[in-house]
Amino acid sequence: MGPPAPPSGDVGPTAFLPPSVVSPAPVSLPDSLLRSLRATVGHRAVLSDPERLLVYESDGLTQYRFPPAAVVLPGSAQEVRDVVRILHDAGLPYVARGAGTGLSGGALALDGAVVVATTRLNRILELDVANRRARVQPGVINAQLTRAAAPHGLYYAPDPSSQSACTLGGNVAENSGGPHCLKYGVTNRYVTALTVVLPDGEMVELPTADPELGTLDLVGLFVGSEGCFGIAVEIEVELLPKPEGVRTLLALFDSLEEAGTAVSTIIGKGLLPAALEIMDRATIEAVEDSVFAAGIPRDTEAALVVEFDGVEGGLDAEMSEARGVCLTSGAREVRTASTAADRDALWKGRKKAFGAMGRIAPDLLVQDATVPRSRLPEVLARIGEIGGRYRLRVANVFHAGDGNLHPNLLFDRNDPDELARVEKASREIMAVCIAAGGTITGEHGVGLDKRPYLPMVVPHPVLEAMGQVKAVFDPSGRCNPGKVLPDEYLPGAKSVPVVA
Amino acid sequence: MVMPEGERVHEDIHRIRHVVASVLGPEGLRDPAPTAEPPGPAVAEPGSPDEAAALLRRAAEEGWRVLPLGAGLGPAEPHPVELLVSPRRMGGVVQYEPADLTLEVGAGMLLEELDRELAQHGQWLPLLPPGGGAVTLGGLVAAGLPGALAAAYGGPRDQLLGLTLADARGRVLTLGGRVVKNVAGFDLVRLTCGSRGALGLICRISFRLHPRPAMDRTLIWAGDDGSEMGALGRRLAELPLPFAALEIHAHRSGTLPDLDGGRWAVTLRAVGSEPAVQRMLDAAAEMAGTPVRCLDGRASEDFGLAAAQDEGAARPQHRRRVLPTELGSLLDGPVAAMDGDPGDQSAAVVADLRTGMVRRLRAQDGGLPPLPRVQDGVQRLHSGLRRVFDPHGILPGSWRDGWS
Repeated sequence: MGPPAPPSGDVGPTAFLPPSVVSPAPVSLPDSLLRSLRATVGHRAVLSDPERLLVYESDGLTQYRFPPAAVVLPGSAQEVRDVVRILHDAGLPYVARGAGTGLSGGALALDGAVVVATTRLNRILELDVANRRARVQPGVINAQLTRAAAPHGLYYAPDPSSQSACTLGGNVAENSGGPHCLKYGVTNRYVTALTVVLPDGEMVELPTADPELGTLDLVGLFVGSEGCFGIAVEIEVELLPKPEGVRTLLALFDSLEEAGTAVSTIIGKGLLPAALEIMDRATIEAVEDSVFAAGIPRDTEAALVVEFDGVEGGLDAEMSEARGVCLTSGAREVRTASTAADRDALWKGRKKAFGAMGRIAPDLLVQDATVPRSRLPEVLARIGEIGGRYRLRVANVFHAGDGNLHPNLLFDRNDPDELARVEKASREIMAVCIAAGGTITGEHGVGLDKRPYLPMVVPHPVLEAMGQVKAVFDPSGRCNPGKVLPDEYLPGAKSVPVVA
Repeated sequence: MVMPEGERVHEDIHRIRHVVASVLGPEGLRDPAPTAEPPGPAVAEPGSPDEAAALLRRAAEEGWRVLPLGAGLGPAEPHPVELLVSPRRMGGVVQYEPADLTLEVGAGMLLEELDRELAQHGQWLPLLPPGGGAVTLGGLVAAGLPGALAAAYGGPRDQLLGLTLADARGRVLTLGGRVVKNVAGFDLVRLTCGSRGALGLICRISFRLHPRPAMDRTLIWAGDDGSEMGALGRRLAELPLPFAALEIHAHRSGTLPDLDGGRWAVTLRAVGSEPAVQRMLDAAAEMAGTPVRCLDGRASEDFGLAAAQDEGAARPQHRRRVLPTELGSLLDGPVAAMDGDPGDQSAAVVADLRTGMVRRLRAQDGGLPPLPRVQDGVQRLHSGLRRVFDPHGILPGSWRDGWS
């Protein structure tokens, strides 16, 4: 059997976003299986009533609806293992789910999958202050860990925008980032150990690369595997000491290009801010029209948040240098803050941007792509041009320091013409980012949504190797089916050579 | 010294050399006209990822055992192989955009060569692997070992954006990318880092870079009492400050500068802006007293490199990661050994006071915790993953510190 023809660089016409994708009527599990699951986790921890399943048919990518066959809520690692064994033995697909905040559809229950929700696994098992480590269950909420660590002068660095809701198990699955990963890195930098239930129900502690044991970095491989390699049931993470000082500035510009120049100059001067975030005029207007109004003039074309943290010595000098750069780059106003309350005010607009957009359009497609930082100005100009050509409102909020863009396309799914334009514009935006040397997702993951785009950035032999790696963990392909890789590369597909 | 297995006859060695030259051209064979008889095993130097893949495919067909090399000096221990493969001819910068703080290089480039290039642009790759600047970047990533800067910057896995791997199926796998955030597909980049040649030959690497610090200082405290020095190191580790490196060394041979007679030394490195470094050093000196030595700028860098080179050259060496709070009791063994045998000039121990990574150099692993058992399920995953990249088992599956 020969390899499949390399996928073309283009995306099929039905790439994504039908108005509302609903799979066929939900699959019901046989009573005997439900009894078996209930005997394992308790009667109340298995949901099969269609009305109660509604909550689980969608995640943060709300365009899709896939009702699960059932939802199981295990209360311990052992129960996760037992549940997975039951499902594995019955030959049923399943998908792990944290808080359901993911933006790429990674937790959607395709193929009538059973949802294994980590909601009850919400305990911090150990907070080892002296060694700056924590052991947690996967359902612990990101911000909850930082709150628990705060009295000891510690915090958990990765801070996705959904950190008040998203779980650490979900963060591990998605290799989540956040505004501060410019300086501190993403989730894979902080996960030091993982206990996982493999797709066949075996519970193992994954190794890191160790020359004496001859082990590979399976922890590094598992982080970001989007629930396709198993379910993390215990996570050990490194905590950081809270920085001595933090300084934040908000600079307002009359053009996105000026803000982009300021970012490049700050980096070029050898400064390393903890965060460099930009929002554009469409976003500012949405924020200022909402209950989250942050007091930014509505005619501002770009607002740049720059934050420095670290030891007190030197912070003021760095801040002053960055302020100077913003002014020379054309900022019409620079606001600075050093107290927590003032900082919160400067961050307010940025942090509430997504919430505010709900006011101006019924639907929002949160895009996610990364480009080399130096290409930001031209890519932003192209995105603006694409939005104009398709008569769409595009609101940009992005991690400028990382080159991680979030062009948000605003639309109404009940307008088929607009929907078709969103689809075309979105595809063009991806193509522009790839042509600039970037990638299709910086932090939201591939999930279901970006699957058709993956062959645009990942060459055929690598997709083939990824499919083979998936098959090592999950030969039957029942652990989070239909995610990340195009079908032809998933286990079971004829094109993936069987690894004996 | 690398020796082919005794039963391998000379004709085989000659034939292998001939085949390598036919696949790569004569320039792909390091020593095209060997004078020794029998000649040593062939050292192949492919000039591109495609050449490396073609060579590995052929090696798999022939059933040769292949050892990917780092700097190309040969493995640290004898190992029966038919072919050594070095990335040395794939050196140089492939793409460097200083404004993006990212760079792609050939895996044959040495870390010190890269450092010279980056210094011209005021940038830095904050890795200090065993072997110091003399390691190839491919070897550095394949070994994946964290160095003295690990607590502040992580290890090679944390600076990697992407890499190109030639595997033993003969595929060229371009993994990851050159942007600083990328979650497009499964993370085969992290899997390859630290895989010690088990998955193929690393040919190209993309790194994220950092601004070169304006100030770089190392403080050294020395003393003869290992327990006291361990406690001092522990107190420094508890300071909530982002020191670049904080280690304890017990060292009586090797290349570290004279520690003014002390058998033990705690070394602390701080980098950054001048006021930030000054603030960190003041806090450290207040906690630990006046250091015996303060190295500034180039001297601070050189000290870090010398320690890394010493570690790279040491044989044997054993590593374990323990909890930093367990380090004190762990150091008791070496303390007793050093105190009990003043004539022992060889053994050394180095520990990172914040990550808990402890290394016994030129000594057996006595005193270190036993290696954990690798669970059956994990073993199965490993063999499955190796077969993905090396179905015929020609690459080293498990390796002990083999890069030099």
